Amino acid sequence: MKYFKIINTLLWLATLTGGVTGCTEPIELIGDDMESRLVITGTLSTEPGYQIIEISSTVPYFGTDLPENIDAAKVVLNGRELTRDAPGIYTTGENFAAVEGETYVLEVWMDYDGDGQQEYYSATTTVPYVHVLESLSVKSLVPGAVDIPFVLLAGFQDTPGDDYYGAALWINSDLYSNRILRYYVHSLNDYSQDGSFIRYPIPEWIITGSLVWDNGETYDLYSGDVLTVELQTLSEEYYRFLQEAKIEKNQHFPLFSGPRGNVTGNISGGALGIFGSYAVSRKSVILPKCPGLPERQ
Amino acid sequence: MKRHFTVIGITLGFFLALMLPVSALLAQTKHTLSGKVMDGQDGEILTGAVVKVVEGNDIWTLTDARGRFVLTLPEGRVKLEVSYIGYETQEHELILDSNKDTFLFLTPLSYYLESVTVFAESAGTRLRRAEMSIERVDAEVIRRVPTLFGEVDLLKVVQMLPGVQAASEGSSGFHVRGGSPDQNMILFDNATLYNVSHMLGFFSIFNSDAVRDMTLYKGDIPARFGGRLSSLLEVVPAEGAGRFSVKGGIGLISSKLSIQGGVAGDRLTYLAAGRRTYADFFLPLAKNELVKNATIHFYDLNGRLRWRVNDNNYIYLTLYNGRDKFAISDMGVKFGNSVAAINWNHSFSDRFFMQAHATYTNYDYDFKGSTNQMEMEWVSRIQDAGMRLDFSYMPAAGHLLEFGYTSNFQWYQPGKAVGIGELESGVQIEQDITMSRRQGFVNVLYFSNEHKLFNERMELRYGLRLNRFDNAGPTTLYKVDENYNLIEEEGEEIPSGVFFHHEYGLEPRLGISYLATPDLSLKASYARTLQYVHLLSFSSAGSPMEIWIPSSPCIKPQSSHQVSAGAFATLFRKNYEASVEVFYKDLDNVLDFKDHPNLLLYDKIETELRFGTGKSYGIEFLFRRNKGVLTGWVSYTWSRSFRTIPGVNNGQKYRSPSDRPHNINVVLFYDISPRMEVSLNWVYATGQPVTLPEGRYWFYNELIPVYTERNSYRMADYHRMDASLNIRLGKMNRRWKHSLNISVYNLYGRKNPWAINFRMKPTGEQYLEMTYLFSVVPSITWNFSF
Repeated sequence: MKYFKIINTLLWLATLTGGVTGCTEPIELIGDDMESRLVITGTLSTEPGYQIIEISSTVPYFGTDLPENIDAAKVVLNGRELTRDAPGIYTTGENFAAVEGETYVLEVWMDYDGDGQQEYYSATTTVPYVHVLESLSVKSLVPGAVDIPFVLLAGFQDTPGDDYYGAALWINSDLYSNRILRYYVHSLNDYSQDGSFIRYPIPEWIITGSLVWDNGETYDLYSGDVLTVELQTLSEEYYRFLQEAKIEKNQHFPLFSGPRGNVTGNISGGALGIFGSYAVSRKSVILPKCPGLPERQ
Repeated sequence: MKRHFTVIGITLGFFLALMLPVSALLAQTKHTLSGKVMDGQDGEILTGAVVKVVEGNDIWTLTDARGRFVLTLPEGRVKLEVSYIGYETQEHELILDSNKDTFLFLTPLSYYLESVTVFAESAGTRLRRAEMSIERVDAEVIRRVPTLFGEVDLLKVVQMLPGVQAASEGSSGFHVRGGSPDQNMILFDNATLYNVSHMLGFFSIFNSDAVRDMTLYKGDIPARFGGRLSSLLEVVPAEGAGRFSVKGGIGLISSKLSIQGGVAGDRLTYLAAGRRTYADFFLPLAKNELVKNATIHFYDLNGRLRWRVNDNNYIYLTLYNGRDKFAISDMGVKFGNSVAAINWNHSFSDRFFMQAHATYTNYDYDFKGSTNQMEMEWVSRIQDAGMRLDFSYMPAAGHLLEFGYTSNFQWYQPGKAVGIGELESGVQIEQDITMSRRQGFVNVLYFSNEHKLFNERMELRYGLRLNRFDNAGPTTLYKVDENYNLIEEEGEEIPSGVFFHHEYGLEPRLGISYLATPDLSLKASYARTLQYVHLLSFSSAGSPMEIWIPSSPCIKPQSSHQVSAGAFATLFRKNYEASVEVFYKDLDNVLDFKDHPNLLLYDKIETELRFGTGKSYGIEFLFRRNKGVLTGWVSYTWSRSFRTIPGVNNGQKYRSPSDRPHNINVVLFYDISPRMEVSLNWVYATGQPVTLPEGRYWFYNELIPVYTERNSYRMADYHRMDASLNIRLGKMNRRWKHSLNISVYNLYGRKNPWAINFRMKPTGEQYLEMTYLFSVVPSITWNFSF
């Protein structure tokens, strides 16, 4: 989203206003505990491999408990029963690849409410057609220089009509986008480029000498490191889910935060979660030698 | 037999004797006595003064907005009793042998001798008039209420009136009977105001030295006004007096000064008032480096001219300019209002009057900031130009006809952000985000009729407004389908000067008052109101950076039907008042945001809004003491407010953001001695509704929150006590007066929440954190006048 950084910067700057005018104090939440709810999540990719359906249950938001998986009686994908690999984890075979244009139906039977009767949950997704990532390069943000910080430029041919894009980043063999906060969701606000070849700077990752990593650690980068971008063409319902989930997980700005709400899923029967699909195309680029990046020893 | 004839004869004679005065009366000539009631010291007109015929079988009337009255009386000697709050009641005697017009002057009560009644009109006036749900407060009351940072504030007083709650801690916004802040019309000399806050809402833009009085209509809005659903706050600017005087105050973080006087007696009077804060002078003492170098201040200037062309023509000019500036580190924001209003009052005769007004308002904000990669600026503006013609005709005593025409054109520039330099994404300098401009045009014809019936025990008022609203270009028009998806992604470009959409509306108004006994009146009213302008408020935490937009093909006008009924009583020779009032509001086309809306600088805002219905209802109790050394009021309001909007909260009914069932306001003034007075107030309100998650689950290595209902939780209850002590210094009864005011805001340091945030402990456990703005805030101000 080309306006993302303007808006995000505006929000952070404006938040300083509230920060310097107020004091803070922890408070207790007083209210009834919510009944736990069933969660079914799963995605199908055009890339061959295990495709996973995960079934779990919600836990109180302000507690110390973490959600745990639970088993279903039966999980079926397009009429074929999936294999239970671990508690609440159901998979296809290892070489399963979703077919572009195909519609898949997920069906789950389980007695979640413990009344002795099995409930039925289902969802459908139509796998989108791939948009091939034709080019990937790094561009320095320092005019005229070849040095950090870099931004990744992705080139691909858009097709006329609504297309929903996301992207994940690998650094060497490590999946940097292993959390939704580091996953890029493209915003649909530039209709002037509909059907054109798009050469797009991805604002989500600014490549510097080190990137924020899990648990407060950093991931150090070196010249010669391989950056791989996986361009994902998402099914519409999966796109909406990722977009809303990212909003919910991003910092909320008291002066500008809109109303909170549940992330919209597509599971019938009252379950939370999402069953979606995406088509994959990857390309890699090597970080060049430059003053700001050391060389690996 | 002879005795019977004698008895009959005497009896007949007695009745004949009785009938003679009646017949004489019936045959008696009547004349019109009209006039104007004014302040004997400065010539200011007195609105709502009681003009009563002594021994006149309860013949009385009130002066209107021009200070004028009309009575039809029999020829002969007439003795009038004229009274007005804060003034000595006086009697005037005259011979009425033809139609007469006269001037009646009242002398202000000595401030040092008697405690004044706490409101700008008498208990008797409130008891008798047809309108209900009205609170009128004069500048004297505003000055006595304890202050925040030493600055008296009109809107802080409004927030302590029955049925009114502050929108949030420190905010100048307010809810009236469950309505949202944008449903309150705020007029300053008939100019519409859109944002009335200084310093994020800690203060309002009204300088109490430049305000004569204010009237809050909580639902029974007169037919000559409209445009908002919940209330009308009419703020009347003060006028200069004939005698030159200076008034000022020096406080810890702000000071003010006003001068007023007259030229050629009171032919031309003027008033100029200004104030400025200087809180940033003390910031270098802070430990925090960011705060040390910050800038935070505001100023405002008021000007008022009154030109008495002749006895039938007055011209008024009102000017206002105010600005806030806040800067810290590499970012800053400036915002403020400019207002201009010109009025011409003309009397065609002693019964027929006209007022012509032209007004202009501008509100804008300018936010600038910079980071390592870019500099940016975000601006927004709203402008309103209006004119109105009001006519009032009094065909007979106790009968008032009003009619007129109003027209307002609004220009909206909701937001424009420009990025300068090279952005992190590599996008070039020229990139900007602009929300397309919008224009609205509202024209209204209205009339109302008010008259007394049944020996003046009953007052009946009814009226009608006929509205036409138009949208005008230039703009980009976005239309959505029934699922709020854009019909055309690019929108339709509407050129400048093209009117492309209109709405008609009718707003009937009805009010009735019945004086059951001299101390008890029963009232009822009905009002339908329409609103063509909407505030997109990002959060309840108050911000100057909000967006106003007009109605459009996809944003229908909000509408409301409100019925009210109540009983009002005066007790113990009108020294006390008690009232109970119930209300019910039915709202349509109220708007709210969908879940996860795209709010900031998003032009296709129609896709983010959802529309539905609302209901508010409640009961208000008020007990008031008007005279004596201890005066003030206590009010309790119970009210509920809900919305039902398809697409929000799964289409189920939910609490509106202004649903706060219990509200208690206690305001007390105590005169310890002629030199010292104490004021105390305590406010309580149920906590503000808020949406909080109740569950969570894993997705993509993140814990995703799960919510049940929107606004199903509440912040902690709000309550706060303020106190002030005013000490008059120096010698009394001298022209030079000065006093010291010591105020404490939030006397017992209640930590009232302003916002709620989510935080995470190092263990990964989530917890809630509230932000609060104030602990105990003392202030001291030295006031003077000469």
